[in-house]
Amino acid sequence: MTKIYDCGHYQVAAVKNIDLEVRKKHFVLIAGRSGSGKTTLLSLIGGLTRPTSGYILFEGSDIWALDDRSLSRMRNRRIGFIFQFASLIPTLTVNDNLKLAASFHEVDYDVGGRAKDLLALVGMSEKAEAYPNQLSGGQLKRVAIARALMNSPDLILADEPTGDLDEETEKEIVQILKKTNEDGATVVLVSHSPDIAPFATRRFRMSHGILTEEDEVVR
Amino acid sequence: MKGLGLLQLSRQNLRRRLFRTLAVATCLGLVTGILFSESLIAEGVQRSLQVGIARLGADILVVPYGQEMPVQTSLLTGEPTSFYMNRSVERQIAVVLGVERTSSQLFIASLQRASCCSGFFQLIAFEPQSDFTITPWLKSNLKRPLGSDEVIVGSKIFTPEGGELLFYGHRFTVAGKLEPTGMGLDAAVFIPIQTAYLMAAESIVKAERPLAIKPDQISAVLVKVDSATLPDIVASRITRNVEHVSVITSVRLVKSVGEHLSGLIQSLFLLTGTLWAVSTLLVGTIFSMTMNERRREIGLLRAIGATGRFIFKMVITEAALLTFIGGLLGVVGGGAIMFSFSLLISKSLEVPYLWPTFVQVSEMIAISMAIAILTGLLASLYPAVVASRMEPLYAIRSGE
Repeated sequence: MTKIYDCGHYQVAAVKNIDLEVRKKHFVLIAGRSGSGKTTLLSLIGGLTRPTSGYILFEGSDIWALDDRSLSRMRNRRIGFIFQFASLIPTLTVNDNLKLAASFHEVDYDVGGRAKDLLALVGMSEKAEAYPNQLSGGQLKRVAIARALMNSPDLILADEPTGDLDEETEKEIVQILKKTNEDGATVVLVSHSPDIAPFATRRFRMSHGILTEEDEVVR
Repeated sequence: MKGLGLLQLSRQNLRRRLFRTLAVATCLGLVTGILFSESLIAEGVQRSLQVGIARLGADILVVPYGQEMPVQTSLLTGEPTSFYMNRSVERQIAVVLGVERTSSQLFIASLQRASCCSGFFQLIAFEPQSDFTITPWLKSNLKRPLGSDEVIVGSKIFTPEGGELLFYGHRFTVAGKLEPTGMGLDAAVFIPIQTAYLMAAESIVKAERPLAIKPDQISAVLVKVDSATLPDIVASRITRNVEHVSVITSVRLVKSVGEHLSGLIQSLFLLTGTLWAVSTLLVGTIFSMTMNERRREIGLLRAIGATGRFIFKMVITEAALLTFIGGLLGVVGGGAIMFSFSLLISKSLEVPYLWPTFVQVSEMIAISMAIAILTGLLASLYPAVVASRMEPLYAIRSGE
């Protein structure tokens, strides 16, 4: 697949002819310099942007052949996004930010109970009623991870989840992602952290929109 | 089980962006308040005329030539006036084709700042035998004829029932009080015509200034037209057959008030229309700006599963809630101002005013609220469509 951004007078090819297959329960690590196209690639995989050419197949189906409702439902139920930036809704409490993930489509679990469990998992139970502006960068990331896990997604797409964090928080977040992967979720992660590399089953490097596999680690 | 509802999400957005919420709500409240107040004025004047003319009971009022303006002013605002013509006029009118009943009245202005008078009021003396203005009320309320020294007063006269009033040195007892009409009749004192002639005779010795009325003089003839004839046709016949009189029909009275008010109401509605257009643009601009600020948030919502339709509904719900608050502020504010200052407004506009009925007020509230909400929906439609169609990644990146 290819993604070209039209910037008026010029065009930027952020992703160039990438052919990537991610298998279930794999932990895929993508590294690369800023502006190399990593975030665009994650967004393409997650159906946040349409490729200029090519296809994104999820379990064999072209996601861009789905209507808005089905694609939104897929993003909601099957994919969990963890963004690089503070990705909580500022007008909602931590607890409501988690519940938000269960707001767009019918779910068959106890929303309040699940939110409580996940906040305990990421060590944020005490901040359940806090607003995002009352949290530190590390706390925001933990809540974002908890929200991404709300609907027990099959695929976690994480864009530098440990960026700008202290070493200890980084380790804790890596452990949470590792456990999520061990519990059965597929993880595609963009990071420069050397601490994550040992958990990855496949490692890629991205440069100028081109993806190159470094090696394959079979666990 | 569901997580957060659309309404809960929208409510939180409004609560956490309090300044914007209050600014937009106040702006819309102002427009709604003005619109609601104008409607109250227009409806209140209309109702007052209906009730007042029903109280008058006459289709036509015949007065001395050239006196139609003072009479209209007196009827509408209660400004006291006196004028007289010969009683023979009533006999001439009674024989005009289409006239069913007639009754004479005397219009007497009491004396201002005089020890012989309780105040400056319009006294209306009526013929108890032929009257159809006060007598029906006496039958159903007082249930007895009015005594010779008794008066019935309009609702704006504060003297209570059983209290005394002094006019031209003659002492009267208040026997009853009429329901409000909003018209000048509310500030009038109704007395039997024979007592008025007696009061005039006594005034030479009892009053500071004598009341010069002869027993063959009257001020107006009230005419009831038979059901088969139009009042306008009878009015033309009276004008042709009776000399030196002016004819006022109830329809013309309503029309003249309408003409008097139409310029003002038109200007007010034009002003409101302009304000409405400006506020719609303003609310639209504020919503567009807010949506621009919230691009990342919208992108995030899309990323975690919100459909474009959900985003559209979220923006529209927010706008509807916001404008509902604005509308409510406007209706409460406008209503409170009108309730407190209706008398002052009525006096300064020189129009009769009676607070509209509960049903009328409810209708006006519903219409004002609907207009306020519609304004919000209209203003937020474009930002809602744009927000709902944004690609999630584009929204997230352009909002960074």
